[in-house]
Amino acid sequence: MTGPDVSATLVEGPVRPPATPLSVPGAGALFAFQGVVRPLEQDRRIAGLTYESYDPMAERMLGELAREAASLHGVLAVRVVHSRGFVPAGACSFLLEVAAFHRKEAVAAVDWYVDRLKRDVPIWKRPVDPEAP
Amino acid sequence: MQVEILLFGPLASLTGENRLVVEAPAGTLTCGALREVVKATHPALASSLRLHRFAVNQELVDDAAPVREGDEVALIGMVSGG
Repeated sequence: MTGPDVSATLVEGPVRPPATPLSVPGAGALFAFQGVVRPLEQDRRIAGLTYESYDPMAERMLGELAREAASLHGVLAVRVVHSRGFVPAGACSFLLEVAAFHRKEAVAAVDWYVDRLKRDVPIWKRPVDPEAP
Repeated sequence: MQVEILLFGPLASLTGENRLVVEAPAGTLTCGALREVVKATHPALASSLRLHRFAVNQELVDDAAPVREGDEVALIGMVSGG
């Protein structure tokens, strides 16, 4: 039996919907989480967020966390895409897809992954003022 | 030994630099010792320095980790991805 299928990518700008959703034979749960840029940052309207990353450490860690999430929670596949550069308000900056036999492990894997991403992966966001040139 | 420390995000904004160059004491250098050097030489970073982590050769490390000639060192402030 092969191990979980994992991929992690940094992309420039907003994350586009995948051409094909994650699909794994035998999976009973397919969970897609999208992180979307909110229009307000501390009650101030923003044009969007600019993401900076320490490469290639950030992309490598996105993949390592995906493998660890898959192993810890027994899921079948994890696909991660994260933005760098400018992402306008309302657009997706982070996509995490998990395929598992059952819902509980898929939800647990997503929760664990997002917590670790927000704690450890060297990616930073900066709000962009709508009036900025 | 001269050590170059990469900065990103808020730390780069705080200092106005994307790298620091510090003179570290001769002999075996650890990230903990490097932290003290940065604290002493860069007042803008001093008050928050305990919250930041070092990465050596793109791996997060603790203060016991050694820093050797040629290592890539970065000071990783609080991250905000996701």
